[in-house]
Amino acid sequence: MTKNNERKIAVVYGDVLPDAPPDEKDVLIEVDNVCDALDKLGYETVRMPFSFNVLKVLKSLEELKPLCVFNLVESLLGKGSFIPFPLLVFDYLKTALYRIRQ
Amino acid sequence: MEIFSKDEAEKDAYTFYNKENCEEVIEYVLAKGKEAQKAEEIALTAWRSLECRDAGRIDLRENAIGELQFLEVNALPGLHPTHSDLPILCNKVGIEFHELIRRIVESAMNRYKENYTFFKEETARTEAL
Repeated sequence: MTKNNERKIAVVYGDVLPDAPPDEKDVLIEVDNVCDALDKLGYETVRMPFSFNVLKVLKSLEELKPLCVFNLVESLLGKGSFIPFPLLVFDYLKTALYRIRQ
Repeated sequence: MEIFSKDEAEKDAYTFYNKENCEEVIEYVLAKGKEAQKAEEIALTAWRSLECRDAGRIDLRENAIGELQFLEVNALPGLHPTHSDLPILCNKVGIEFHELIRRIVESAMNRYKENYTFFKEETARTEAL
């Protein structure tokens, strides 16, 4: 990891469609507040919507090489049952790219 | 933290409306005494048994005879600073929102450092063979 990325955190959230109900759009407020808190703590935040375009997500994270991912994906396509999916992607990155045990 | 619905709240459930209007319709009270201790014990047991990490929320419910029952674990709890239960609870015990976020990141980074160091050491060891 380069020194530039030592304070960079990717704040990842489920992509919110324009016609999403209020409880889904609520995550955008969470993203704002989490980013604000992280900024005050001296981190550089990068907001990243997570969608089923996995290659795009992987490419973005691989290019960014953040210190860590702050996962705020509470649903995908309006379904909470898809919550484990981003975790699989993050775990893949962790083991395949960063080769971290666990 | 105990959650009490006021008369103005939607009935029978802790609904999205109740959460969004929690300042008017919900009362949050820090649990105390033996009940709090029991809740803590159940919650931590569940959390650790499930190998959950960093931060989350365990929901319990008291049955008709006053016994605390595990409801669910929220390993990805809401983090709305004023409407989500974990930040509300933290605020009540003096942990401000940015401090909660800091602790989450620190917990994750400590885990990363441990495992990355292990990997580097293992790699160095096996390459030396």
